[in-house]
Amino acid sequence: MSRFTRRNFLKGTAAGAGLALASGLVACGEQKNELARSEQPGVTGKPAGRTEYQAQCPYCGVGCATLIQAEGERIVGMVPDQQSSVNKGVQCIKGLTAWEPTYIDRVTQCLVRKDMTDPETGHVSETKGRFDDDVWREVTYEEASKLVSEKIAATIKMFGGNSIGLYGSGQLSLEGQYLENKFMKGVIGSNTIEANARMCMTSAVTGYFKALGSDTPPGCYEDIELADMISFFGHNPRESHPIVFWRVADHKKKNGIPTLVVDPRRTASVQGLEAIDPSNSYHAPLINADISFLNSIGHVLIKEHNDVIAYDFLKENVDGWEEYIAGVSERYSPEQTQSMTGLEPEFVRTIAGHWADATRKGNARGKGGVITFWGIGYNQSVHGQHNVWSIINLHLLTGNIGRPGAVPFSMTGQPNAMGERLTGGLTGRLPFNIGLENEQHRGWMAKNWNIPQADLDAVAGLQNPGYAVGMMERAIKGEVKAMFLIYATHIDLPDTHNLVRRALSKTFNVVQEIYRHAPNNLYADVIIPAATWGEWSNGLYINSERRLYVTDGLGKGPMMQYDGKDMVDASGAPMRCKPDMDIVIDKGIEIANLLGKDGHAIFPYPKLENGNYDSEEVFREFCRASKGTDADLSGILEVEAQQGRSPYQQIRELRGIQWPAPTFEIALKGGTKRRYREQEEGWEDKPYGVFRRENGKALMGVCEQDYTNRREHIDKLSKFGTDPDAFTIDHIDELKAIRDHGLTPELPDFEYADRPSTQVPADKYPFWLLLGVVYEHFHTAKTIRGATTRRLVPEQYVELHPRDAENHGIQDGDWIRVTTRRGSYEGRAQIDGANSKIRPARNIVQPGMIFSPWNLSVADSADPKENKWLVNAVSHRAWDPISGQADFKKLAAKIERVKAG
Amino acid sequence: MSKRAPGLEADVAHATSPPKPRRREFLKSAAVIGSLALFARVRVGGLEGYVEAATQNGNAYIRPPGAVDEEEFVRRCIRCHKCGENCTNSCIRFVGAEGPAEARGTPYIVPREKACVLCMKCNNNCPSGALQFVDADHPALWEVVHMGTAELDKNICNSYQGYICGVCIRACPIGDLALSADLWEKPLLNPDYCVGCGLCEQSCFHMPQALRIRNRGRA
Repeated sequence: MSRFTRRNFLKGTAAGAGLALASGLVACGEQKNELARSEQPGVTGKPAGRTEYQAQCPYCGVGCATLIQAEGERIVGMVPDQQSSVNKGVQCIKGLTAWEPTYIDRVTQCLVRKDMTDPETGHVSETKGRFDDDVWREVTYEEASKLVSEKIAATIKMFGGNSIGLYGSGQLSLEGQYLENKFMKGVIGSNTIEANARMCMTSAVTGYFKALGSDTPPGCYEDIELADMISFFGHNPRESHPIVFWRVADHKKKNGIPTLVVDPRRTASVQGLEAIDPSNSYHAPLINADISFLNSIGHVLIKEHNDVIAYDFLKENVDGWEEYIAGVSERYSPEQTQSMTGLEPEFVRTIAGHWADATRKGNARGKGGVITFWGIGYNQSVHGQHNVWSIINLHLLTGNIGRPGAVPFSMTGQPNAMGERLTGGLTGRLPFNIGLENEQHRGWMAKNWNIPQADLDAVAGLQNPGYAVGMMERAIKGEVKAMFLIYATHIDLPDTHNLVRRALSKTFNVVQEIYRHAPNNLYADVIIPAATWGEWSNGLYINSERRLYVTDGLGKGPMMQYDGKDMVDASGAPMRCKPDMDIVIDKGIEIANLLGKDGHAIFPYPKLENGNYDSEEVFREFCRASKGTDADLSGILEVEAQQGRSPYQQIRELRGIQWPAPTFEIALKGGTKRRYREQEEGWEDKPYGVFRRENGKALMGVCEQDYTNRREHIDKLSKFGTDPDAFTIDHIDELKAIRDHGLTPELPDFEYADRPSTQVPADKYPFWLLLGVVYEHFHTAKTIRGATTRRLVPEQYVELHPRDAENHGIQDGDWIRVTTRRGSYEGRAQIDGANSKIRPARNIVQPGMIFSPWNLSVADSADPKENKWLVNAVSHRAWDPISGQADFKKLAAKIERVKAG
Repeated sequence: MSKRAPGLEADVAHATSPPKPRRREFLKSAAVIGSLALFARVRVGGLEGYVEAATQNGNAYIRPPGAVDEEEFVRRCIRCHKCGENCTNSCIRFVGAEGPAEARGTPYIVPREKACVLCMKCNNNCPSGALQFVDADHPALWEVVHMGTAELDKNICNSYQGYICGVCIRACPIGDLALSADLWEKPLLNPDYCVGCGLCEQSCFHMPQALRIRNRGRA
């Protein structure tokens, strides 16, 4: 078995290389490791004939400031904004090439399915699942809009507002999201509004709510360079948030801070930090045991580093800390949790020691301490809220919160997921971090939305159990009759075939889409072509540090086509594909009028010269409505009133404003960098104490994890996705049991993991299947169409350990099939990380573990007849009973070889 | 466990320096064995000056892995195209009428269009010894494969110009040795470990490429 592999050889040489590495570091230390671009002023001189537009990158939640370059009516490139404090003149390759897929495979006609599902008659289309040319008829924009409005209005009258669902997006502008929410809750009267934020960040949202009383990431990126220790939980930032990762790495190299990455794989992030300093770069390869690990750190801090427990702060500002201390002291010593975490107690003590050291340094300097980042993988859990709360607990325990350089920090996936959260475009939410159950806020929002409060009161009484997953289950059951899908794909949801597509096959679906061959079109009854990022006139995004940033653009989408010709409107002016916000306004007005409401009074927005609605006017309304909330932005309006600079102008000039900006002074200096404890900015009428909960205090509590009898609890969940009559919304108690024990929705048959394939019975699923992202792609739509990113990583792959490959007769590069209880997908075997010839090979999986990115899900074809790479075809739909976020990135799977590569 | 090796700060000057004696000796011995006249009768003659002309502006053909030195390669290759037929990656092309007469019909690779994935099917199937057998699982490929060597132009490399890129590092099959990552995904090239497969050049999307494979000039 001890074959002389390249890896073994390299191990042999590593000792010799170690010395050279040390000297290399010295040499590198002398050279200036600042960002190359900023060393060379003038490099980005704007070429003649090009127009530049300030915008936030449309990809991840870091929110890099970029300049869109256009020639005439076409975007031709992007360059980083040298003046941005976020990316400091740097940008990653995804951002650099984000403009490429703008003009590929665009849909420019309004299309209506010939065999259309009709909620009024109960007819269900038989052509769902197809998007070939022959299933469509072309209509004008007016006809499409009229058809949609009449069908939706009739459905509301027959089945009530809550029979209409909406799936929105963190790609929409803040204004679009805000109006989506107004449209659904204010006009249609539905509480069934969901967004891809539900699959991304809602565990962070509800974790922040639980602990701090508001969905407010308390820190800012400047904290990175002040921190004394930085951790990443369920987060591979080098691939998913490169700018943040390299800011951390740069800080580590200069100041030698310890770092910790908690990830089941040896990711590029782990390797990158170890390359800087292996002596203080830690990697905890956990699957699911994060709660135990964090509680154990708490235990060690209490027992061995009692000086860093912030007792004075806890007594004054925190509830529940005594119970927390008692609970983790009693039940979560590193020895007690070792069976769950698999970590040596000494390792936990080392990490706790670093945490304590960093806290001491922070306390001594008055700034600095510990930053804990977490990513989407961490949120995607049945106990996602508890995962997040566990992190915040530890920060509260040691006072590492709200001080410069010490903060729990969620990194969002979408560029404007934070907008989705702030505008409350989710079930049960209203804008500004206040729930629909708050009667006073309902009255305030109804006034601002210009609708009767009774309408909102009625919506507050409606339920959407199960959130995004529940919306789909309710559709299967026939409770949801129609859906809007706006700028978000349905393949990001779990269990594509048994849950999502089964639901979408029954409902009447209105799809706002930019690509002709997007997966949503397979299930669309009406497609309305939309303009995309860069083509809007303007709008705002909010990044992970609460920074509102402009997304200016050309203001010109592609020409809308009808019958082979460019469309013109009633006045003879050419018609272009509209921004999603405009489509929502148009439909909103029409539907409101059909329902006997005054559409123009609810959506009183003027148009710009180019025919698009003026989203700045929407933003002014948003700022007015925010007055007095903890996301107060009214200072921006005061600056406008006194200085005449429009809100967007202020944001452009300041390179972003971080909410809240409640006063003239705070808005003028760019908003609030840090929230809560020792917040620099104070203002009169601040609506809370130190924290946002009603009594002004934060909340701590022990999140439990207990693996006794875990298979018994987990087995109950195997019916979801396999039994067509089993719905999670009918078994919420089973989900709660999983949550309360800190378990996973599935468990591999570990005893078969190390056996040859011939000894594994067909009904056994021996492997942990992990799903995630690959560096070169962002989600599933744009980068697989962009020439550069597509060429770099064109094929679905499965990372595999050499032991498992050998057991199953799989060679590097072979096509293999991954199967779970619910479905299967195919990919090329990438064996043994960097030793694989399948690129990119960066991450190393443990034995018994396989990994695929979800980015390539429809890179072969979105058409189900040819699509073999769809990873969510296999995933599980179980969700967090509070956050609604699905636990679909760690599954039980088996593998088999299909053919040679 | 670090796999980084000496010579982190490799640059263009490094990459164009003459090959290490160790490798040159290896090539010599290979040439001696090769010239046992078995295949020497194939298209002999007329090679004077060919190699010099072919390599003088760094434009020599990048040959598939395992190739003996250029002059001997052209002499030995029987133009059977078996290497191309067995190439699972379809990256092997053959010199056509556009090329010098001496090289016509011989295999070569254009890395920026399709680079070699080092499956070694070509040399494992070469009947003439023009491509010497290489074990695809060889633990130190850089000692036996010398297709060329990468040159890095930092003046146009994305990562040295303010974009966090690093796709070449992810593409490199001798990852962390031939190409490793400095801060901000800046590639560090160590030509001692570079086999010249060209996967980095293929991945580089700066136009023109910041990483390019040069023939090692083995004339």
